[in-house]
Amino acid sequence: MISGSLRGRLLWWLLLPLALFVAVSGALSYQNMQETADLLQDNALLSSVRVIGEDIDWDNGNIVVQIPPAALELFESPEQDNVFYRVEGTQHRLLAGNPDLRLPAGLSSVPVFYTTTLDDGRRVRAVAYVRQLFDSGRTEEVTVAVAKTQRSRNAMVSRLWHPQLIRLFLMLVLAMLLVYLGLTFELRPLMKLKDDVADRGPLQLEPIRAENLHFELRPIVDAINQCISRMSQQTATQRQFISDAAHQLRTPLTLLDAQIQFARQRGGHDEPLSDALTSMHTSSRKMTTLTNKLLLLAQAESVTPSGVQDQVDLTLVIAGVLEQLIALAQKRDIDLGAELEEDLVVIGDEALTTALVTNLVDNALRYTQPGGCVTVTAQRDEDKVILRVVDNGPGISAEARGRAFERFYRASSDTEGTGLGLAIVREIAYRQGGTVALAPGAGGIGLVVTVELRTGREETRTVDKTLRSEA
Amino acid sequence: MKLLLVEDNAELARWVVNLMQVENFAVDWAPDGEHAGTLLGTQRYDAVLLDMRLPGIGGKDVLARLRRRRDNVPVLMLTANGSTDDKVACFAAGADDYVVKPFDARELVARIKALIRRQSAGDQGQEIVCGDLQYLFDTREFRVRDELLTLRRREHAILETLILKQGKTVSKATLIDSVFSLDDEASADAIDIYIHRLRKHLAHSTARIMTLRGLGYIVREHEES
Repeated sequence: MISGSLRGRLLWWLLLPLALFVAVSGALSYQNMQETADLLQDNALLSSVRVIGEDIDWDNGNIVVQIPPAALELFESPEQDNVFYRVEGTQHRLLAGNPDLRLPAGLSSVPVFYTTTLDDGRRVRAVAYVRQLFDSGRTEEVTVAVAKTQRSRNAMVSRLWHPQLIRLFLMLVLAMLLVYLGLTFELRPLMKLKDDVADRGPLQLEPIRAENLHFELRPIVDAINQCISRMSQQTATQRQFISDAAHQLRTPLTLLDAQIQFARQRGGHDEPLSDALTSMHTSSRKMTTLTNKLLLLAQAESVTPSGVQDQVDLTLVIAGVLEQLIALAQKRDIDLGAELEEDLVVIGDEALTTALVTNLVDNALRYTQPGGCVTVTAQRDEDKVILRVVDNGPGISAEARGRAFERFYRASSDTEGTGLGLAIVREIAYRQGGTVALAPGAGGIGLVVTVELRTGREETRTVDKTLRSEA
Repeated sequence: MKLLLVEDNAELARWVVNLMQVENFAVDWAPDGEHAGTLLGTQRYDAVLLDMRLPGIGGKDVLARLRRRRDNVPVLMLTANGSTDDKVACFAAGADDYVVKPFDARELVARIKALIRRQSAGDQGQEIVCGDLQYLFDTREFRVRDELLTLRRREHAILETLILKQGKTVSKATLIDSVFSLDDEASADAIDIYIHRLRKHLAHSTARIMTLRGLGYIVREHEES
């Protein structure tokens, strides 16, 4: 996810430096708090040691140490620190306090702060200084030291540092959230672009619209559009080639056909020759049909669903096609008929729709055995018109059904056909925004080809409007 | 009978000429529109076979010039593709008929003959032909291979309605309307009986009454398999 997602990567780019910043800032502030706490603690220790030190006095030539309660009350806290003191005279004579508290060497009247460990292992912060006591020409040096455990000091560090840390973390989380939301919001055009590219049909070769896009995305869209335009150019060239080739093939085919027909008129007396000429004529006709279908296919391919918007009366188209093909049906002794609803208007191109119906009925007539039955039905279903060509011929096996729309695929080889009929039907249906599907007929007999086409209802709507305005 | 073939492909022209000569037509050939114009200005032809795509002056322009001179020689257009646009363009330019390349020689000859016959018969002797079945407008008679077809009144009415539609489907309802007056009791079954009888009458003709189930009836020439 991290390597694949732009959002993830951008998040990492922000998360890492921000986290680092939080860590450094946290560490620095921790140090800061420690220093502050130390300073406060040292001040308290200093006050305490001074109070104790000032209260030492001579009494009848002896040094008397009195510990005033105020000196110890300074350290009162909920953490209940242990406080230690040590007062000693010259030659390390202990005057008062705890002998465990060690004193540093080389003390003077300037207080010295130090950290030491008691015999029982507790670490304490301490301060010590030397006070000179004068009495009738006698000078006595008294060393005073006060120490305390670190509990209240540590508690203070936490109290000061934790809110700071929480604020930093909240900031980090908020930044992440904002970045995530911002990216999601700002990446929407990119996602839309992705959908636009991904949802395209294979026939959709129009350029992607670049308005409403960030200018950073425009170069990508431009590049995609260039690619699309190259593709559509190439497809157009290919289509043009097929169309040209079909046109060019027609001239020699017409010539060949005329020559064969002439030969047939002359060679009628020689039976084998006559047979050969008849076969040649059939072959040349097949080639003509094939050429025509290739041309039709190229024609169909040059159309896009948005390009054909004519209103085509499907009822008339079907009737016209059946009138054209009734002769073929009669020749093959097939009962040809229709069940049509009135006023079936579809959106498309009339010539192509006619070609679609012609190919379907022609196919059905060619694959159905003599004595069979071919019926064209058409009905309205909401915003679609459903056209069905039903026959009771041999049908198409399930495995062949998937391939039936492939170009030059033929379900059986014993009928004359180009293998382009269904390919043309599918192409035309797609190009007019419709679909086509094959299914076995009722009781598994025969074949039902179902074509769905868009209904042309705009006209009806306009009529409704005019009627309403007149009323 | 004399024909003019206007076709730019010399080889194809040569073979069409050959084919037409077998059918006892005399054929002149013009390779382009200019030659055709000259020939049409000086010679008289019974029919013109005109290719739609010609170098220089196109087939439609040749035809337009011809019609502007009030020359109403029958013109049959040869078109490369059978698209509706092409057909409409042919008739708009004043053509009498068209065939799509590659054409069947027999069909071409039949169409040329029909054109010439229509031209010489004039408005008076118009007829409709379906295979070997002939309908004469002035006498309202049907003939099969020039032999009069004797039909009863309603049989005649039905066949007449069908042939006047010339290859288009006629619904049963229309046939009932054409046969029964308001006083008569109209019956769909009766139509079936008349159609059955007519089919017997036409048994020896190449014209057939074909049924398009759900749509109606149609008169067409039967194609031999």
